[in-house]
Amino acid sequence: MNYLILSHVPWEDYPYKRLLDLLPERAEVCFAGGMTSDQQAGSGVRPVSLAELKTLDGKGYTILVSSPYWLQDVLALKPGYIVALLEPCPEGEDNTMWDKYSALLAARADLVGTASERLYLEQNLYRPKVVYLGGDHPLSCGLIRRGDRLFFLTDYEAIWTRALTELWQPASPGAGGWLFTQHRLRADFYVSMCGKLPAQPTVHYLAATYLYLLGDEAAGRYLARSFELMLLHDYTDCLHSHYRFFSAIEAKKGNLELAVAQYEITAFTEEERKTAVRMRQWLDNGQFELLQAEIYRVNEDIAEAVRILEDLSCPEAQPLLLQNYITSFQWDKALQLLRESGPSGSEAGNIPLPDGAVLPISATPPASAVLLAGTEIPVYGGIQLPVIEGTLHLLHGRRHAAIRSFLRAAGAGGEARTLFAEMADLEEAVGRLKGEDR
Amino acid sequence: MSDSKHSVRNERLAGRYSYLEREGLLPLPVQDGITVVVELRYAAWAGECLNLLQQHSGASISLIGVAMDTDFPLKPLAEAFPGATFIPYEPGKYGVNEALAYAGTSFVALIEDSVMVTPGWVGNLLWPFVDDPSVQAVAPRSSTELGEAREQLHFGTEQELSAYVTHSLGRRQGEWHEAAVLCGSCLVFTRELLQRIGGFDSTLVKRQLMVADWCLRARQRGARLVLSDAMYVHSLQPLPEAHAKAEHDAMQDGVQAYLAKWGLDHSAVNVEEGILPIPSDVSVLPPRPGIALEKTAAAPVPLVTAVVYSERPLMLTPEESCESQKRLQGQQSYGNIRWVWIRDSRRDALPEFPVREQDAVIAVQGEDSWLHALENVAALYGSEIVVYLSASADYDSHYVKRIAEAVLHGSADLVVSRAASAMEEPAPHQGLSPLLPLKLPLERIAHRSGIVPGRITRQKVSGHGLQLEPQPSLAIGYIGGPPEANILPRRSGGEVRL
Amino acid sequence: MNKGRPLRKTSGNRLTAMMQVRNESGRYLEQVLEELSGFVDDIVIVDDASTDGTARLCESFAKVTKLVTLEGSRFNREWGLRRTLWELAVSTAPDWLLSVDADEFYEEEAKREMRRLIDQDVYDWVAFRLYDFWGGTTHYREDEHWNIHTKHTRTLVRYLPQFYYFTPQMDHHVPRLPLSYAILPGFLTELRVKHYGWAQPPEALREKYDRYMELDPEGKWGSLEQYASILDENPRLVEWQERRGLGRPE
Repeated sequence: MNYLILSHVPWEDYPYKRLLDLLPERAEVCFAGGMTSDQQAGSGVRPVSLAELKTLDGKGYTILVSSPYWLQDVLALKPGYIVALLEPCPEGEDNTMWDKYSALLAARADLVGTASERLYLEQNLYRPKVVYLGGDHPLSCGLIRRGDRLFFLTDYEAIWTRALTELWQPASPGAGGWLFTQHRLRADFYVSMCGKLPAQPTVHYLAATYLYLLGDEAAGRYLARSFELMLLHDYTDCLHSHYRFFSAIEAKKGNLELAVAQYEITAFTEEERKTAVRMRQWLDNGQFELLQAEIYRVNEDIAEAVRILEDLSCPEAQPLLLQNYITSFQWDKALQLLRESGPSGSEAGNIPLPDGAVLPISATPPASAVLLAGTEIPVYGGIQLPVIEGTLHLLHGRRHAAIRSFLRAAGAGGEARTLFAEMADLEEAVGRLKGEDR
Repeated sequence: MSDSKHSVRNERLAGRYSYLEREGLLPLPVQDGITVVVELRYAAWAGECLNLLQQHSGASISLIGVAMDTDFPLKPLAEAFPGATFIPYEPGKYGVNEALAYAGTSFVALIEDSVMVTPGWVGNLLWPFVDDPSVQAVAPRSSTELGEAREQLHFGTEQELSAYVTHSLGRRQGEWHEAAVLCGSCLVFTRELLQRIGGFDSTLVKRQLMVADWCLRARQRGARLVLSDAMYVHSLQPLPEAHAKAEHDAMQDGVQAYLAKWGLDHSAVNVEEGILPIPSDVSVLPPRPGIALEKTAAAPVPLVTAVVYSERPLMLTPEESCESQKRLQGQQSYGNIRWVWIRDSRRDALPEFPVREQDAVIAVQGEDSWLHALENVAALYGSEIVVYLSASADYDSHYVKRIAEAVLHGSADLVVSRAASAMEEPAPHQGLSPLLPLKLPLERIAHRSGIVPGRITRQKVSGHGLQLEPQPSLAIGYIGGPPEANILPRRSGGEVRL
Repeated sequence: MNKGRPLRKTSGNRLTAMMQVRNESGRYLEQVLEELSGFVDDIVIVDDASTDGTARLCESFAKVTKLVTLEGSRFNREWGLRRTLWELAVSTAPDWLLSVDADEFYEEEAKREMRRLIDQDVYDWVAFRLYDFWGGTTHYREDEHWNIHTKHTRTLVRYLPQFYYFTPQMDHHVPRLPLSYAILPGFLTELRVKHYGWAQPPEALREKYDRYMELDPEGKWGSLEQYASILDENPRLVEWQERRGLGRPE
């Protein structure tokens, strides 16, 4: 397998050099940017210029991307596999834009990896394949021989190689999932920390989170203890983070009635109250999968919600799935879903939306005019459909189509101006990134 | 001599010794080498473990690899390490005990295949035995031992590991202390102790408990257990996988058995965390029974490559040919054969027939290529012994066993089995050098690995069979057919007693 | 939970008062019960092994729907006492709970506003200004150690059946209601509650001081300075003014 590295920093500062040594089935490794001959000799990596990049046949490559501003190039290359190495927003970059485009990159990637535990947890709730490139395990868990060099692997390095290999070679049945293994390692670590720091609410919360991801019944106990400690320390802003989380844990255990009651307690805004009412209805009607998906969604476990909804064929599942795709930045899938449900949607080509409104759409692809009823433009979780389309056009290099979509966004005065400003900022950030690499 | 002169002299001697040891100039403090029994569980690590053992244990090491479960792939290891012996997994038998039965050296090491050794590991672990004859078992520091000896470390590369080992050796050379129990993944002990208390109690299921139990039994017989402060070995640990409940229950049974055996009630056992209860005074407990070491009827057998060829075009239907292969294979008593069929596809238009994964069918085009392939089969397949078999000949069921053992245990490079057949027999030349080059019937030949036996040609006389003109440098031995003792003169002078 | 019954009712909420008592005869209990009967729907009481006529007094009020008398004083295990009271109150499937001490009086305005405070679905608790009256029922104390009225005290809570109720296990100064309410939205009102526990003559105050020093001589559960200030001969007192029309929730 050939690898291409699209980095956020020049070679000297690239933080993942050791992971490069451990790449499985390592044939050619290229780095987009400049490298001295010493650096090349030492690392076995060869530099490629931006011009050369355009001529690469992406199919035979796995791309390791660590800056969201490479996304346009990544999409243009059409690589065999994309691995997103997520970084927290660096100094000097705009937070909102960095986070947004990182999320879009992650949504497109075949595998996400990050050395930041915060990002690791966030991403675990968005998608199923995330590797934590860090850990506290004190022992060596694997080895790789490269010629006359023998490497010993840490827990996450062993997982890294496994996760990559499983991209192109599905795992043998009976081999435990590496995702499970990492969750288990983190859970065990935090559980042992709880023993050492019994009055610390954060370690208990983290233990609860990993146990929840594992589907381990002990999750509830650790969350309860964390909740109690928060109260004792007078950290009272935890209704959503701590108390509402109980509902997700109960839903995983199958106690849906309790989960709904717990959510109801936390429902205060108009939208939350409507959601609570809907949950009650589904509970009473026996539509348990929809209910579960909603409980996970309100607890931000989009991955679990999507997993359930993708398997459901009932019409109510579609708008929920759409909502979840958009929240987790899987915008391609969102548009795909819209297109598919067009002709086969309910009468008059309408889709019922969660809040009772109706989205009339046509089955035409976004490049041509999308018909919207009157001046109403559908909004999903605060993001307008034309904005989604426009952003995707932009990422795929279709600048004019992007501009057309942005103009269609509601209030095409102020709103569009903000979007164009963001377009300019993005182009500037991309330019800076590539300029640095020369 | 005065005191100060005494201490100066001792210092100098110590300094010289340290120098020799650091430079790797010291031989092992044992005459007969060491047997290392390796428990094979982790296919991804076993090869490297054995590789390092071979590199760093000195010349006189006997390696015995024991497969610890049915899925463990022994074949690739057997090929990569032809000098080692491998014991396949057999349910109901604890292979390690079998391996230990074969240990012939005064010292034995028991190692898991997750252990990565560094240069000089053996020597450093053997010194305590020399320092004090009551020491019967020694373990190094590692992540799998208990108490102070439990060191949980990670190294990025082999160099880093070696640097650490060298550094800690430098600081603590010569230091060791007595331990109440050992349970880790590397243990060195005397054969004397092994013969006294026997092998490991497999009813305890968990490896660490078996080792601990063995050590406690050793102490009951007055042996001293020692932890080497100077030596560290790196033991890899597998990542946690979702364990089957049955496995977990079996482990629990083992824990209960251990506690019951040593009269420890309801103690917490968590070896992974370094928690292992032991009786406070083993001497007051009645001695626990030894576990007999068993040698199976079929000894750990080196791999034999049986090369099957057919001299004439086979006029058989595919079914018949299949039948005859199966018969040939099934009838041989020898336990570890890789079958290789070498055929001339120009002559034999036979369809493929199913073979086992470790077997092979080689099809070449044309007689010359075919003969060439037969001559060079040893280069294609690594195994101790190559035996040639003709598809049209008859062999008794112990043929392969007999001829393979002759190669294995004798000093001949090539062995010919005399048969009561109409083939040309080599005449027993007593002291006369023959006028014609020797020609041996190929279907009666076996040779050891690593050589090209000679030139293979068609027999002129009958036109069918193949014959071998052995290379002049090879030592040839002869054996008879079923029971007939014989001593025959060797081709290049001297006798070979088989 | 009944199907169709909303979690937070905006009308028809039942108000249940909960109280723990111990040998209250000669003190304010009768008055408190009388006033409560005027504005709550039920009263639930745990009697901590009173040896005077306290229990009989409680029973004489019609609105006291549950009275549990404990054997053997639990005063030293306040947490267990509070828990028993909570479980008793909760067993009546209440809508709102008002935690009252046997010497607390809600001002007129507060009593009038009570229904409006609870018949809404925006917040789940109400905290009042509590005033420590000193030496009598005309003045309250205000100084360095006595200023509870400058903060809010949560006494009125909505009961949510599936909520996680946590009260830390302590031996003294246990919060009267589970801490968990702190994470839910609540209302801080300017309505006032009069606490007459310290509205006693000096000898009685001295007795209280002695009791505190006996139970907590090292000041583990309370401040030794505050205990000492009980004996102040000239505490700073402020005259109580009745008010009208203030403290309405928005």
